[in-house]
Amino acid sequence: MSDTRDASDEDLLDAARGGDQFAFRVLVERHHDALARTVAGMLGPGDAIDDVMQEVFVQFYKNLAKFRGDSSVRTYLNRIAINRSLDVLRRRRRSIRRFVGIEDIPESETATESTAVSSADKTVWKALDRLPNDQKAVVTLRLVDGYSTQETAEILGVRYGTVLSRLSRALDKLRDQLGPVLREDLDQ
Amino acid sequence: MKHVEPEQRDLDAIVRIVGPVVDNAVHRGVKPFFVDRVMRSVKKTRLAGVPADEIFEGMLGWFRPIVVASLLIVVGLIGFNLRQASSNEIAMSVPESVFGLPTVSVEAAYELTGE
Repeated sequence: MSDTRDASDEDLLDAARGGDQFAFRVLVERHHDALARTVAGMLGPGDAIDDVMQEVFVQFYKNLAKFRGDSSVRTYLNRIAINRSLDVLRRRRRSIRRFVGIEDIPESETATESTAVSSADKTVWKALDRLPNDQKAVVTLRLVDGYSTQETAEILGVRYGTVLSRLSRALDKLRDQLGPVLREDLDQ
Repeated sequence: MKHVEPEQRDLDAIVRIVGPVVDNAVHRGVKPFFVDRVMRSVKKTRLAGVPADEIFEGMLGWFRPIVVASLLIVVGLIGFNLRQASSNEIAMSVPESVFGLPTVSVEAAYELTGE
């Protein structure tokens, strides 16, 4: 069992494809923390994080036979996570538009109001919420997950330059939105 | 003292600010026993998915010869009907010949004996 825990992702994948449930479990244990940051970065606080992560791993399990190993497991999982999160964000936006109209979309689409979140955290989530989805994905992968620009481009299926321009625009907006919090951090 | 570009300085600060906020959301958002719950979902997927695939594969295996045999019978019947129609002296349309439909006159239709 300890051998399985020490095995590489590739070996675990082979074992999981052969029906080894424990090997798949080790993959989930190994990657769920990093994945949670990606999903949380995209969706903000709330129960949706857990739901989307479950969906990601179930989809990964269903796709085990199709996964050829062109990218690392983490990259592959992140790609699924970003796509699933974008689906949730689109659904949220549609339902908000349906009820309050396109001009009145509230500052925070996430569950910041319903969960116990500090005011500093709320400022950050509001700033992230105001980013368009494509810029939010870049910020999450580059700044939260720590992927390189090249890796971010591969996960999102866009060009290197596109990542840079989206990041630059996102940073301009975040600088404006996070003004006081940012100054406080820089003063320390 | 090391000189840091303002852009890079802001970027580093944003990373420092956003990171812990996301971690807080993860801490609150991911419920206990996450891995166990994933494995239960996976088990359900496996139980629901694999036998259905096997049944489908099995049915395909059974139905293939039945489809081939049915097609052969249909082609044989069409051939038989066409041969019968050509030996008849009465003029028949193509659908009548193919499907072996009897030519029915108005007089015969009203005949109660069916002859």
